[in-house]
Amino acid sequence: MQGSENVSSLMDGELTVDEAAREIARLKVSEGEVSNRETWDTYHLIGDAMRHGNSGAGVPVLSAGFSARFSERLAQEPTVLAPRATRLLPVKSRFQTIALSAAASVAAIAVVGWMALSNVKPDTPGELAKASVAAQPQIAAVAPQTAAALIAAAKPTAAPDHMHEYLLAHQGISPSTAIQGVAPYIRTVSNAGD
Amino acid sequence: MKFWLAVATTAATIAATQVCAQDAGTTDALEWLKKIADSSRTVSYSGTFVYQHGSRVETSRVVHYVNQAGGVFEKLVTLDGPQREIVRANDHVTAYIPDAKVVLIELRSTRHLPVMLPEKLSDLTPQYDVRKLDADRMGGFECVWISVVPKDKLRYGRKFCAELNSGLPLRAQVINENMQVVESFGFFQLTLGGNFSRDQVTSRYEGRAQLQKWRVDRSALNVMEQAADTGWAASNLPAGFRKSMEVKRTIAGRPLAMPHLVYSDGLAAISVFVEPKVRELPAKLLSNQGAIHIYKRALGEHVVTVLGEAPAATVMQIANSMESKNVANSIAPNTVPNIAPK
Repeated sequence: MQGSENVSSLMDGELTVDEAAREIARLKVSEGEVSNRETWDTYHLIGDAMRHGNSGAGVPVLSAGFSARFSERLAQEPTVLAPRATRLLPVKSRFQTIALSAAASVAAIAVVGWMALSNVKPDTPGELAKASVAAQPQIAAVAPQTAAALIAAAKPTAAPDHMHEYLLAHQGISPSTAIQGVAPYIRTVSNAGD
Repeated sequence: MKFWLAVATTAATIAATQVCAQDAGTTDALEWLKKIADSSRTVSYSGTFVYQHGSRVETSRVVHYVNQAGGVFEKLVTLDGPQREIVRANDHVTAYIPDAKVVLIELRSTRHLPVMLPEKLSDLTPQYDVRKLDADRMGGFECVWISVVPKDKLRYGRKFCAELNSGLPLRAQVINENMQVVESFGFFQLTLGGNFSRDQVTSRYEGRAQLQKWRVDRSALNVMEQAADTGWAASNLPAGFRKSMEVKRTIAGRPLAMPHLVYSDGLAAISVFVEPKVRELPAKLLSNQGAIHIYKRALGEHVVTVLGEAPAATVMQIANSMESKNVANSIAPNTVPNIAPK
């Protein structure tokens, strides 16, 4: 498991140059049941799948033969080894970049949402946010006719900060969170730094 | 391992005896739903999972251990974003937040949720088609897809791929009216069973928090919740929804206990909070977060906040039909427990 955590850190650009070099070296060797290389591929595949919207249907993550063509192109490129400069950035800005998935827990399955919100404003630019335009609510199109006009006029916005307490109180009673095998807990951490 | 097999078998048997007359396919699917719901209390596992809602993706690691007495011990570690570790021993939850040097402690009472009660499982079928679909394979485990498809547009659908032996959902999705996944959860690495030591469900920050005297926040322990007739009711509930809970509760940041009513169709739950109006409401009254819609409206001297994992129209219908059963509400808000007339 240590391996996959390191891979995660590597992907997030959280490692120093030395650490990163060591991790990249480890990517090349098989270790245990799941090699770090597989973990690396899996993480990226997950990220790709998530960023390609929700439906999944008919949206190829990568076109067939992409890897082969990419390798071919890559072979013709000059090698530039330039580690990301995250260590040099002020802590705050680094946080904003990675805070997108600020989150919480599994358990959190249902709670992760507001924890993430409590750590990052909805309009914070970031790679994931930019990549998933598809996540806009689709209310107007799907609402029953009786309420359609009303709802179209009231297009939902992201939950504002003061809703955290309600969300928290609600999570504790929702049967669907229980059925997902997830015990939601932990209250908002928005005031944790006070 | 034998123990877990026995537990799983027992759970399946109990479920089987309690499901009433349905066609064979639905009965089988409901048994699976029960098994899925029970798995968090019957199965030990450790793994890494992805949770996605809206545009957000979270990766976390979990160790979940159920001992022979039925105690549940759990540790969650976030793998992206700021470091967070959450340790749970039954209803006792401790969250470590290293960047703020804070330890949050709270209790989560284990409730009898509507869908957890076997006799309530068949309550789902008027509103949902529960079906067992294809077998699948995820991360090396055999699983079977169980779909819960709403019969109208008032609620969301669900899909689970339940591991064949344990019922643990390897993947879970919430699906909206356009057949889009609005929330999803999935393991991409998982070990079922296995040996656990206390270390695995202890935070690595525990020592540091003590040594560096992190701030310990216990304010959540003071949350009060009490069954009560709140004097409020929804006059026009969406089909299939019934009141499942009515309490007065305190909420962080609010000085007084407020009415909290819950309406459920057995799977989705919608909460209603009523409090005195202290200022004018903002323009945007409808918001959402993943599968949850939140709608706020003024009602005389009160503000009604309604939220739940349901389409906006359903949440708004409940909000718009909230009424005070008590004329006195317009004079002395019953959100003030000591003043409210009996």
